[in-house]
Amino acid sequence: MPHRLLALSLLAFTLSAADVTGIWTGIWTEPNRDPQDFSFRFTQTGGTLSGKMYGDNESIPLKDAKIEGDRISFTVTTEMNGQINKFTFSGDVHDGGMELTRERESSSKNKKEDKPAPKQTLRLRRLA
Amino acid sequence: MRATAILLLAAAVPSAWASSFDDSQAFLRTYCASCHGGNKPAGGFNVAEVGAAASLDVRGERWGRILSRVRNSEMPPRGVAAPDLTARESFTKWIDDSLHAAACASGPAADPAPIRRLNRDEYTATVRELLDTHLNVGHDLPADGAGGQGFDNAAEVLFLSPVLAEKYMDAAKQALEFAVRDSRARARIGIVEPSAALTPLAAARKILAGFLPRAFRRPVTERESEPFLALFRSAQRDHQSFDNSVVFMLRGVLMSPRFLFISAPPNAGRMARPFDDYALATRLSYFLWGGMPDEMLFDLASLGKLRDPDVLKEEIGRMLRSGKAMGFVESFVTQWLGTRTLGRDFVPDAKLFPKYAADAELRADIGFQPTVFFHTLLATNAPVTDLLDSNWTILTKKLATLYGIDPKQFKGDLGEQPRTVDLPAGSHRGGLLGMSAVLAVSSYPYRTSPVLRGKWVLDSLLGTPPPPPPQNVPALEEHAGAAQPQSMRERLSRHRDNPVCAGCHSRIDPLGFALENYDALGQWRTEESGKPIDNTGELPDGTKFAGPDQMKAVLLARKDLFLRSFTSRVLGFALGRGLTRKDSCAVDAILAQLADNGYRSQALIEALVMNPVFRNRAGAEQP
Repeated sequence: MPHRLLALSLLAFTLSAADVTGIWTGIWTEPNRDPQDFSFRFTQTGGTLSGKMYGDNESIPLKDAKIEGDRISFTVTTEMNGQINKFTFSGDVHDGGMELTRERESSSKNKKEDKPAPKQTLRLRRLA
Repeated sequence: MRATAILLLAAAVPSAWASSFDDSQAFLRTYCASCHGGNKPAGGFNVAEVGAAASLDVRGERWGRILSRVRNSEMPPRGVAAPDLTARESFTKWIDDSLHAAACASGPAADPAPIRRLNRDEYTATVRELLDTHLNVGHDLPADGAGGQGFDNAAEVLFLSPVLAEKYMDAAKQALEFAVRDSRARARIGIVEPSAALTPLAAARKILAGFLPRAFRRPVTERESEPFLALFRSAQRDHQSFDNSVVFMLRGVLMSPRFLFISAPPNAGRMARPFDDYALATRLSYFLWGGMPDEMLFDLASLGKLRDPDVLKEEIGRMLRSGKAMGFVESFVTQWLGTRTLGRDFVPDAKLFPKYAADAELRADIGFQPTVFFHTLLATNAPVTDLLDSNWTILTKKLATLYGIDPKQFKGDLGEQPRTVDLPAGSHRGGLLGMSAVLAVSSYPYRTSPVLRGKWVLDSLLGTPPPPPPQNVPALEEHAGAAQPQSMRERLSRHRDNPVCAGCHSRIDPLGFALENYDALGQWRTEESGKPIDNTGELPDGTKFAGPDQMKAVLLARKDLFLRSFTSRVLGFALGRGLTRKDSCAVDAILAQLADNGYRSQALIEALVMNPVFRNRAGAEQP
């Protein structure tokens, strides 16, 4: 009986979670800078989440991707000219959209000198 | 509709021959039938062929040839009675309008989508993205000539000769041999090493499975992979190393027509049908980026979502905001405006313009200004009428100084990077006509030419190039002699005295005179050789103006001409071919949507991409 209850509660949890499978896109704007497009492809199987962030040339896989109910989080690690940056995205899925906060971890080379990067909010819409 | 344009800036033209089919027949009888009639008509053309109103439908091509030859003053020939300019233009306008109405009776048509080779720039960009390398692989390829609407992506000129094929083969070899030595490129290609668990052939098959769909810009079948695997096997039989065998195999891919040519699946049906998602992705990316689709476009295509109008609109916005849009912008702008020749075929005189000759940064700033301006216009969705005149522009410190604008007056000092700035009042630098690059290429290297500049405005901005000068008439400006008047205006005034010249030059010269305050490098001046600049002009309809600002106001007040010309150019570039009369119906539809959206630049691109001519492939029977 306890097993059945656990299974039912897991099923209920799974059903209530938002299904984010698809391509999501948003534009991040910042004063005095060109608007920047962010696009992701998520694949959700139950509570398991995977996906990628589209880049200019090729995509970057999402890591530590999780979705619990309406809460979603994942990390993306980029490399440019030897500089590695790790970004953590976390937020909620609601009203058919997604609101994420992006935080950047310090650069691997300049951890001591880096100031904490401000959090940035990104709103995504489902494109397909 | 182009004949409407010929009536450049004239509010009303007496229409001696313009109003009806019967009038057109009277014109033909008066000026053409004596040669093009009877049993042995000249050139095999008898005016009787176009003697019925239905000929506009069934003999449109013949009417088009009449239009072209009369408009260009090739007919009637010299020595026989000829119509005056008004009669000639009203006759050609009537033909143009009538053919347009006949062609558009069934609405916008689909695209015949002729197959075309990737041009040099597209090839370079595509290989760069396929291999993730910055190597300029197109460096040794010859430049492509212009065709269609004046662009080097026109199917009409993008054929592949055996000599050119060899050059492409060399370019592919060079690119791939570089790529297999570069770790990033190897990853991008998807090179996997053979191992105990993976035979060389299996590894090659795996590489091909990832590489081929990207190279061909659509999914491929195993059967399509076989010829390339055969190349791999052949190299292996010749005891080539694994890497060399992979290079040999991928060279085959880069020489395949499916890579080198842009083509969509054929439409064997009678009626037009939408391009599939992959063909649409390719059309979009070569239009707006000048390169291959990115992963997101491919993903949307694989999901079958790209043809969804909402998705398509979102993608257009994303693509225009992307830095890759510079691929479209640079190619389109420099060819449209003719500024591609600046610093190459056209170089301002080094003695007269030492700053230009000595300062590479200034030369780059001048060259980039129209391109960055256009990119900004698109990215910020500014109105396309800003191309005619604007209260903003793109400046660097050096450009501002060249233009006599204090660079310190802008918030945050102007530096080396191009920046969008609001122009101060009285700067005379709004729109394209205030830009050094445009003003230089419409001059001689050593002096300005009101004729060249007037012709540039008529051709590049208004799409109404004047006909070529009559044969055996020497260039007026090159006349030498003791009695030659001093100023350019005085010399050009002789155009008005010569009826052979007056018809066209009464339109060309005033537009050029209005720009005389700019020297041959576009620097502002108020006098030349000690005499004040006379920047006044008067068009044939009596419209008077003085200086560039007033002339731009006149152009803006009659912006339809510019908008039609500009839209036709963008459409020709987007389709990669010359436009036909049928395409003018698409131009009508795009213009209507543009007007409904406040002439916003992105609205033009959206309307173009959403139009059947971009989204549908023609069948055997249009539409």
